[in-house]
Amino acid sequence: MPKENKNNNHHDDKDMMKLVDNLNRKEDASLNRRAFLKASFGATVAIGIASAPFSALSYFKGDGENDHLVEIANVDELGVGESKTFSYPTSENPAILVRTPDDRFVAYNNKCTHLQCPVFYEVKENILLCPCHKGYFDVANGHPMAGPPQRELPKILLEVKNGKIFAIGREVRHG
Amino acid sequence: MDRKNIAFFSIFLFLAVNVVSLSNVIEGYYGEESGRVYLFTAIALISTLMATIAFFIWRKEEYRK
Repeated sequence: MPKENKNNNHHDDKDMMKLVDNLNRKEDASLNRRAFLKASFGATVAIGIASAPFSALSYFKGDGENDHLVEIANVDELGVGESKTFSYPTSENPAILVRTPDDRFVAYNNKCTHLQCPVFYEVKENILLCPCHKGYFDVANGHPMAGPPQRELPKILLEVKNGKIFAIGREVRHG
Repeated sequence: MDRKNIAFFSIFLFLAVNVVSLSNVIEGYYGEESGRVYLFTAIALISTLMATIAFFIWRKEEYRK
């Protein structure tokens, strides 16, 4: 009987030694409660400070470039259901002018609000389509209808004068 | 709840505030809504300042002999 006990103890010791081997002491020391809190605090500071450059960029970008007058096309240049591309307010902002089936002119910046792919007018479905990831926008107001885009297309304000269509301003968020 | 625990948990609260603020700042920036960008930047900076205060309170209590 004592011999059996001795054997059992021997096995227990062996098992315990195996358990101790399983502990990775370095990880245990670096991932304790204190280290976790310090890492969380570091993340809080990093994320908090990360928002500051956007304010600076927003301040220096200004709002002045959004409202100057640019001639886009003649009214008779576009038939019903046709579209034309142009740039507004700068040459880096491509846009699309559409004459809708109900004979209205609408214009939007045609960089998809998902990943900046160009957006095209699909006359059959009367919809603005981004072919990259199948993003659909409502041609009447530029708001996303299906697919990955979450934000609306910036709307370009139009004025028709003396048979010509002019872009007179831009609303990035609208409706 | 004692001072140390309040400081401990508030850091996670400020972390959540900063994540939401950063998300709003980016949305505001791409939507050219400068008012929204400034508002959430201010919230993020205040939250960061308060997290720093909370961290030092926690550290003082944690390492007290």
